[in-house]
Amino acid sequence: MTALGYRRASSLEEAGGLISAAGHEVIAGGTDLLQRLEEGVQPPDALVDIARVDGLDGMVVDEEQATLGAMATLEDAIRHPVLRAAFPAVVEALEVTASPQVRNLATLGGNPLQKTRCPYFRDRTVPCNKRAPGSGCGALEGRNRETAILGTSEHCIATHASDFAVAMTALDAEVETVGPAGGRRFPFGELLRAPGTAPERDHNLAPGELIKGYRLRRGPLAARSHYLKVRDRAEGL
Amino acid sequence: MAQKDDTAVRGELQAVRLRVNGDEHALTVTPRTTLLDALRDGLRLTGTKKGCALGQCGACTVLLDDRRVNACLVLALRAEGRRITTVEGLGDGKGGLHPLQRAFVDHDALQCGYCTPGQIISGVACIAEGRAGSDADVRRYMSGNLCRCGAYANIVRAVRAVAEAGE
Repeated sequence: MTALGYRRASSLEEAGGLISAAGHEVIAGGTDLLQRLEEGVQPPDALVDIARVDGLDGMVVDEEQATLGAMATLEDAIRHPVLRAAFPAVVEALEVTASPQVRNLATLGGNPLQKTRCPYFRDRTVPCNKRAPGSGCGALEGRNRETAILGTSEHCIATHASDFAVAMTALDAEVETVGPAGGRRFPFGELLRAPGTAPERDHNLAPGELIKGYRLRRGPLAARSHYLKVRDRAEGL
Repeated sequence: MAQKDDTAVRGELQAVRLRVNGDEHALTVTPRTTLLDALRDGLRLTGTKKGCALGQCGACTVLLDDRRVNACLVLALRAEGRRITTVEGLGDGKGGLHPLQRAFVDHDALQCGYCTPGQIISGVACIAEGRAGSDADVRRYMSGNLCRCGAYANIVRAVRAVAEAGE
């Protein structure tokens, strides 16, 4: 096993170029990546650190819209003085995510790009079409109490764990990216993929394309939005 | 920006400086070394515990620039230049306990003690964040710290007691 490589990028453009090398992945908050490294779940060979790229962690809310930087942490967004009033569903979704400790590291850009927590994906010894295309879906006839009921295919029934992604899709947010073909903006709903016939592909970013931030339009629907999560885990009992 | 050298690129040992509890330390780590391992194995600050190594139990909670984080989810190289506080850094440095440490003793908020340093660091931050104003708030905002012994009721009492005393 080769030792984990590490380098720091000084811009998103540079980072995008560096991750074109096989086995290289961007590290932002690192909260999902370090779990994957620890458990050997598609671990990268080398990390490209974007933590020191300037200008990616800002959050601005004006009368028309919010602009959220990809490197803002989940806690930064929760504690933003104005974001909650303008987009309660987004902040409420962030509040039910993980734990305060994880939220102080995890980023808005990384959270939707986390890999599924389906136990068959995270266990290299069992069939999983997302991890190993063609190997089968162990969850279909296995432990599937927490797998998806909407948007599945015969190849994969994994859920996506991001609450933030659900709220952003519901509020028609826009993703802003930087990539080898230049930057682009597209609806948040086009970022993540349903499994379909290619469950190994989680998202629609091009090779070397990185999320720079998001935009959310203000309005009465957004201002009255909410996020309710129903789950086994109570928030501390 | 150019790497100082390419040892980190190749995954080899590299020097890092960590500021822990006000003291500067020079360490040698690999890119894979977590802050948790650097604290425990590199600096012999074993107050911070490894419970799951996956950011799920909170036993490794430390403060990074006053923000509570799981040290097992932070790579040591990335902690350079940040202010790190561990449980060893909470007291007055002369053997005097931090008020929350005193409260954990007074309210019997521990049994085996393994989760306790993480609980206390997390509790210090929880109070500073203004999120310890009610039992429900403490339970909610300390949800990242598990206690297999089940000392939760007294942990909540200890955190609430210090929060109230500070009001």
